[in-house]
Amino acid sequence: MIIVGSIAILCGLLLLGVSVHLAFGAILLYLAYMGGHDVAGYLPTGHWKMNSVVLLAIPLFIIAGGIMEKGRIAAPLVALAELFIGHIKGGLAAATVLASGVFGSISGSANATLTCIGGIMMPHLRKANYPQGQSAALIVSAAPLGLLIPPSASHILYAWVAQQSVLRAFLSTVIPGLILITLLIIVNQIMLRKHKDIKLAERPENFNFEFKKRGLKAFPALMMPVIILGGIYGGVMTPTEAAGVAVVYAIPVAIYIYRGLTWKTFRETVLNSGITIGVVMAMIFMVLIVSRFLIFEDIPAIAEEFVYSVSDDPIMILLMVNLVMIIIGMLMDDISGILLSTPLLLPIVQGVGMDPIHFAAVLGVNLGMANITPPTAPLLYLGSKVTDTSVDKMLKPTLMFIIFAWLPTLILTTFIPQMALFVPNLLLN
Amino acid sequence: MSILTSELPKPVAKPLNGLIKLMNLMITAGGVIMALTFFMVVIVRYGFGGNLFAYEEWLMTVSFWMFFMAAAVASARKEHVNADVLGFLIKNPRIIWWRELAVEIIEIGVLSAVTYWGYLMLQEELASYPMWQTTVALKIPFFVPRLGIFLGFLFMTLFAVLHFYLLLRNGPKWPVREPREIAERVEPEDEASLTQGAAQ
Repeated sequence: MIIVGSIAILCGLLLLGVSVHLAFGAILLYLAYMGGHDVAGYLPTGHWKMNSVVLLAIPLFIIAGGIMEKGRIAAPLVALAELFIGHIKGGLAAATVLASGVFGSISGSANATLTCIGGIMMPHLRKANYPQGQSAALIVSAAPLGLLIPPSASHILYAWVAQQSVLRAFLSTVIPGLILITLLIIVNQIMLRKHKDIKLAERPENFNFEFKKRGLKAFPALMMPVIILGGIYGGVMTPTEAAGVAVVYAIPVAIYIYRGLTWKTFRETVLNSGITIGVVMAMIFMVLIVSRFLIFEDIPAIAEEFVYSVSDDPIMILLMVNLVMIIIGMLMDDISGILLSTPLLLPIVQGVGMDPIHFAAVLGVNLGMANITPPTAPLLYLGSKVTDTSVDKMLKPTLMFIIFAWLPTLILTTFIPQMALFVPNLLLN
Repeated sequence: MSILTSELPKPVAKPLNGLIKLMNLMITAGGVIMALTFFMVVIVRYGFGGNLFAYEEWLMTVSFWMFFMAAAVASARKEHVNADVLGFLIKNPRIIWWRELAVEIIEIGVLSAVTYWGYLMLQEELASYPMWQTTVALKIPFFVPRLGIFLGFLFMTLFAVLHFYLLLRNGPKWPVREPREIAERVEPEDEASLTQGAAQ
């Protein structure tokens, strides 16, 4: 009864448009009424659970991403990607996907990736006669790569909730991310085959000179993930310390090297990032309390029992879990999705022998895909604004990218554990 | 000045603007302090072979204040994440307005309950003084970060009530659920240009 009521309240309020953190607050009201919990214990529970230095990595990554977003770092990355493949048909679009992957790893945010890469690439693509709806859909479909290519703030959260290694969680989505990049490029190439009037960029006469020039310009931006991952991987820093160092590194890079920020706009950027942090942390606070009290009510065990009553076939169970994650991802952002999915679904998938690090990758791909899946699809609507393209024009090509790039990536990640485990095992064992 | 306070009567707007400015300062300072602290932790560890004593304890206190003040400002700016499926499907301004009214009522109800729970939390802390809970090394009372949490929810409730008031007062013409750019549209510089434009 409690589980059905909680799901009904959550879905109903989210569909109505109630803020995510308050939809979870409403579940607390319901739990207080149904479960007879002492309401005085709710907020102290949130404080206890959130009182962890590990969690500070999330706000720090948000600030670093905000600084890099405003710091005009996307342009040199795009220029570098264009140098390699801009002169072949579909190359500019492929450069967009590659730049999204690299920028995503720097900013760790799908929204920032979409805004920066979309803002720069859409005029280029339009000028080169690439079909508008398809190009906008490609930009949107590539934006969640930020969740897959490490480092990613959502993986830190997952590792913290599931009590797993942050670095292993980071590395779990490397192969799925690379496969997604490849599939997005292939699907886009196939969809472009009927378009004969695409203008190609000229290949630079002196490739080495151009490579050095553009590479040097992109180098400070590319160093960001190297510092973070190198610092953690080398055992020099914890993820939170690496995130703090990333912020301090990003400031002079954005102000003095790329000149996208001034000290005045830096203050505004920190403020705006701070407000985003407030939004995220309020959600984390509420979801942590709800998940704690759902565990009190033994909901994960009830959910597990329910799933096994439908089928005990591992393939069916994994398909059901994926379906639930897609629905969760369509209704809420990746942070809340991870906080809700992990305690509920991890015991179920572990029951069919899935490694928690494997689940990190499945969760990452699911939530990334859900972000672009209609009808909610927050990235699709943001993409429509950024690229100045109507959602109608973007809808069909977006569905093509979901069906032929995202879904195959999800299926491969779900059913082939090595997709997620190979890199962490190779580098960390 | 935010779009929220720009719509309110001056005697209400002035102290609210001061409050939001103070909160903005706390948010910015919190972000900078957080980053610098971890940077210093690394520098002190590898540069001087030492460590910052119990920095986690005071930093978590600062962070809680920052998180919840930021969450409150996000309420003033209407920036909290929502799925808003109906918002994309409904085009009729009157129905949109009614839906928004329902959302505001639910949000005020939930926020009031959470704020009350926050009050109970503080009451419990104060009741246990001088045996109240503190951090291990620096003995910072848990009351301090918890006060930040309570005030955050209190201000969220206040801003939700003000949005509700404006929604009722302005009717369906009030811009509902608009993104950050709308909230930031009425900045002091913009206000001056708007006034000039109106005068012309």
